[in-house]
Amino acid sequence: MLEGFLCRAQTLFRRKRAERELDAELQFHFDRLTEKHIADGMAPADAARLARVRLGGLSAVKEECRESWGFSRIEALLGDITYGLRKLGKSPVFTATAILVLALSIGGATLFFALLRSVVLAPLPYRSPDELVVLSLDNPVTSTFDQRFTVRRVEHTRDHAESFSAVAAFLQWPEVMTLSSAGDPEALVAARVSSNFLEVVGTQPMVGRGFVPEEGHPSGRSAVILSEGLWKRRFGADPQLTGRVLLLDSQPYTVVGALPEGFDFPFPEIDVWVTRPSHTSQMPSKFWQFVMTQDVIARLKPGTTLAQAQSEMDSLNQGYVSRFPKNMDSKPGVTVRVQPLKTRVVADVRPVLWILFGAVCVLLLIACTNVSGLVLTRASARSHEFATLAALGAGTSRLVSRLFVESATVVVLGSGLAVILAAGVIHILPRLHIPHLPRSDQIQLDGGVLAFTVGVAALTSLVVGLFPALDVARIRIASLLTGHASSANRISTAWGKRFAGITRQEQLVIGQVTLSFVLMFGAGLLVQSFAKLQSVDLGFNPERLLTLKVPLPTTSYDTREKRAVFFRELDQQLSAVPGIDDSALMRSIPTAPALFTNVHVVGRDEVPEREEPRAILQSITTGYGCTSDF
Amino acid sequence: MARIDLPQGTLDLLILKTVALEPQHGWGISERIRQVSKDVLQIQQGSLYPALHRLERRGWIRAKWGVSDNNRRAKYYELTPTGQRQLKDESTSWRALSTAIESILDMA
Repeated sequence: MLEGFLCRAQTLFRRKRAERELDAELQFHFDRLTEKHIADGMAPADAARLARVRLGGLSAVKEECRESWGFSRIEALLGDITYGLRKLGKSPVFTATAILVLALSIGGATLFFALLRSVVLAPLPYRSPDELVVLSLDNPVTSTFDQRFTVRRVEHTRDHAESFSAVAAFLQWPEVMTLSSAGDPEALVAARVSSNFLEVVGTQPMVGRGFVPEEGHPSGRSAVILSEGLWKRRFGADPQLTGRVLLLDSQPYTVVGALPEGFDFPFPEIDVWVTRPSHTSQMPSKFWQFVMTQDVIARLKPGTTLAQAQSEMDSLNQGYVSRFPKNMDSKPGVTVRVQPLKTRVVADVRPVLWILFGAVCVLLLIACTNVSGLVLTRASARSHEFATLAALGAGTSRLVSRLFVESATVVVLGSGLAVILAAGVIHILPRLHIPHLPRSDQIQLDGGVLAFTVGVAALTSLVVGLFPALDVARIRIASLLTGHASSANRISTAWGKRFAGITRQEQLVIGQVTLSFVLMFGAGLLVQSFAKLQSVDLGFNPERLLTLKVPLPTTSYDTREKRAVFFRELDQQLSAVPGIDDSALMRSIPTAPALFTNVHVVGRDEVPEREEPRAILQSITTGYGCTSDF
Repeated sequence: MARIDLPQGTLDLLILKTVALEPQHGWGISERIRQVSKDVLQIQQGSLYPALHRLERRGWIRAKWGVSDNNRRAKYYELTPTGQRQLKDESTSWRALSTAIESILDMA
């Protein structure tokens, strides 16, 4: 840095001295020639005039000398940049339009590249993330509900699989637990995980320890791990917190540790982690052992491939089905699928992000042709300026470089603004809570993204500057000065002969229209899918509907009667609240994960239990139909 | 007094030869060449000074400021060791070329 500055300062200093010396040298020559004329008998004034005539153009000589100094190229570039900035400043509307158009399009490309890089391409923030796989079931009767393991299958896999160094289970949906000690009661988002989940994902608690196997047993001590956020917000980041007992849903849980910020396994915005992943509050405890609720994550042993693990799972599955033929997840045709955790995390967004990235790239091309068209129009309007410069001795290369520098300046300014825009969007992205965008808090503008932007800017300058520069390269001074500018702009290159008679502007318009059509059809398809999604008939009118989740502590409301009394009173009091037209209570709200039950039709032949049809189990109060406008 | 356009590259040779005798300023170089060639070769300022700066950059001559015969500061050019070698090479090849051309022109 300092060295570069010194070098530049030295060059500047040397440059000034060289200039002074050149002046002195040429003055000496002039003086001697004048003296010689005087010695030949001329009047001093005549002698000086004759000397000046004989010496010719002083500036041309100087320019030629300067060229051999080696400063000139940098100086020409600096000159072009200042000239370009001055020219741009004189047409603020053009400049602002071009910069804004480029900033938006380059910013879009930068943003989506950052999204792709951080969401799809970057490794997951766990230890050796490539070793992490998820196990799921492929069921001939496909539904999300049918892809999970039963507790029995988790245990079977954990006990027999050789491909994995560890197998952990977790509940994919959040549970709400009421914290009723240490201050005001608070509803917390809880994740249910098996006691070894930290070993599998490879994360260390920032305070305390992870769960021990005993804390995972149904009869063992209940333990809880806090998130960094809850630990700070509720307990003032007290390092002595471990060992304290908290009341969660009126049950005592011992705090064993706290996890670092940003740890979001198995889903984001968790307050606490507790063990026993099968003990979901969504269903009565007698179902816990038999219902398919368990998501499974496993760590491949080093050196074990996905294919090896898959073939082991295939044979384990056969063993499981023949050993537990009556289990819900032993249906004929059920297979186990092993897939990398990352594939699962980004599966939904990967194609969408690639499509959107493609779209912004096309948009960028359109922006390029637009700005190129603007520059070209300006260049045509300025052909007299260029002709004058050419007449004054500026070479074609100088004119082309001048135009290129001018468009590159616009692109550089646009890219700068683009990076600021993209950074701004990325900054607010996690707060927008975009549905189905995983890892949105991990998106960042790093060196790789900036390198991408610089590359895009370089390409953009080329594309934007190319057409105008091609035109200037063929300017015919004579025809321009006589006013026949348009004929000079006609294409005469071999490449252009196929479009004989088509001007650059017209070519650009053709390109723009083509690209716009591509983008328009793509956007049309996207909008169509979106519209379909929006118009899915829910079967009820969701307008003016609010939902509220009320978890009751099981210790104080230990009987059905107590719970029924509570909810009946709640229903009555809700209806009395001003502004509420109607209210209803239900087990689960429509479209949310629900409890399934097998259906047996009385009077029909007995079928094996696992082939019975299934229905969503829902219990409602009388207001249900009116409230949701079924 | 016939003026002759210098063939490409010969100006460098003339300059090197002139400053090889003694350090000389630009004016002195052009005067010396004009006198010795009996007014046939007149080097224009427009080609002399760019050539001097070019040769200086190549390291064949170097410049230093001195005092001229009429007590004025002037930029004197002198031959460097590299320039010395260059002069020798160029003179040899020039002589070979002119001898060859002469013998062709002398064909009877």
